[in-house]
Amino acid sequence: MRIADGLVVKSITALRRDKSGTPIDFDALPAIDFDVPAIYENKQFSQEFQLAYDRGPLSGIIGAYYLDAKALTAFDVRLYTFLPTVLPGFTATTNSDVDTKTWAIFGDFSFEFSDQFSASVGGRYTNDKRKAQILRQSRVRGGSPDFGGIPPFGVGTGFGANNGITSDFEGKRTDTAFTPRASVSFKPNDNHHVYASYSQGFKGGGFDPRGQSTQAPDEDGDGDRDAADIYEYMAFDPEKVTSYELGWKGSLLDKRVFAGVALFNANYKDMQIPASVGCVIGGLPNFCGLTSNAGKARIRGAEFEGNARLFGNPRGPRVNFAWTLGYLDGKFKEFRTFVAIDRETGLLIPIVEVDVADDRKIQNTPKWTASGTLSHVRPLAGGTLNLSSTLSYRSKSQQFEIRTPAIDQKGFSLLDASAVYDLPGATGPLVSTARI
Amino acid sequence: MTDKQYKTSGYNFLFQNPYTGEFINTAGVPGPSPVGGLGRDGVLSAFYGNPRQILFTVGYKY
Repeated sequence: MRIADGLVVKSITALRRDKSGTPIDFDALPAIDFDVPAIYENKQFSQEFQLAYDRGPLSGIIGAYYLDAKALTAFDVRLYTFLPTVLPGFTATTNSDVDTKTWAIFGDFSFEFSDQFSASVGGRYTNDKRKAQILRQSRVRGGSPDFGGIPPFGVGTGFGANNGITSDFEGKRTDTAFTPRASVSFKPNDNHHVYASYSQGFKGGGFDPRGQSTQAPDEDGDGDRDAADIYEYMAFDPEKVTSYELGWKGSLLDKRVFAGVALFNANYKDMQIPASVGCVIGGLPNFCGLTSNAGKARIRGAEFEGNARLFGNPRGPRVNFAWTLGYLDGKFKEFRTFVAIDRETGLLIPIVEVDVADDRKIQNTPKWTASGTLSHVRPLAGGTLNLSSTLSYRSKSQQFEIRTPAIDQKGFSLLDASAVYDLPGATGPLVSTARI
Repeated sequence: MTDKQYKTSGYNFLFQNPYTGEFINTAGVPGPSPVGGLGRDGVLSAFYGNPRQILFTVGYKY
């Protein structure tokens, strides 16, 4: 809504509810062994107000944001093959609720000093509240009432002390952050644009909805597992990132070539690492969430992309080449974790905290990515024919932070080709495509 | 077009040496399958990208 010359107010309201079920058969065999039915239910409400100002060389926006969200996670780990005569229909169940209330105020202003120079500064203050309730229980003769039973079992009954409840955690936390950003931009002429930017980012802390409180080590080293140790284990801290980018975009050779180069560096503090593992709770198998904060990580890299018209003219028959080239150098500088294996001998030892930064890699972060697309466009029988082929490459990467034989993918290339024909006329059959 | 097989994601519930990632059993010793973890035989799954596909598409603009 326009309230004055150059002043616009905007309100954005969003409401979302969803419920989804995912049956995961981890062992992919007919036996009910590590079968995991799960329900995820989300309720979210958000409201944002923006006030935008645009008059002459100064433009900007200020605003406020509020989000109220509830996330329910319920799942069974059905291990009916585990000691079937002693513990028929053994199931480890988890039921957790994580509530989020977050609000933020933000502002961002740009100033054009001249046709060539402009600068912008902005910032955001975030207040992030999270509350979690996580209940875990061992049952026999079937799973939790959320999922019903599979013959010969129905809904299971609690097994063991305390009606089978192995972990009952409640926790809350509030994280706040101010994250500024700034950028400068220089356009010497229509064909070139050089920019530099600085920004800080923040991802709020929380609790692993699959965490098992009895797995907490004695983190504060006072000789017992008390409430403080359990809280430290179940919670994860906010992740913070500071990034810098320097780039150029432009056109060369009378606009036959358009290209861009970017160099960037991001320093992460307390990077959040989600993980889940098999674990043993009171002698019984279970599934434990292990979301934690790696100490420090750095990702720096470069990107070079563009497209060039090799032959022909912009409206007639032509041959174009488009490319992307990416280099990513990701490295953990600190990664503290608890281990029960000796590094030298590989034998079991009492649990200790160690730094495994040199043994870990940032997941899904290949050092090199590249692609090249050669395309030929020409008028044909009144329509337009577009023939194109892409060769892309991705160097080796890890699925998880830890090297995992048989899952990690080595470097590979893919080749695609497509033919698209646009029939003549503004309306009517538009494209017939064949892609391989 | 080359029908390349490549892994895009996976699950691992076998025990691993926390430094090398090598699969180990509950005594910490490297061993052949099955080697500990969750489920009777342990679980290690990989998911692959699409195989060679030939797609024909027809669109209509109105």
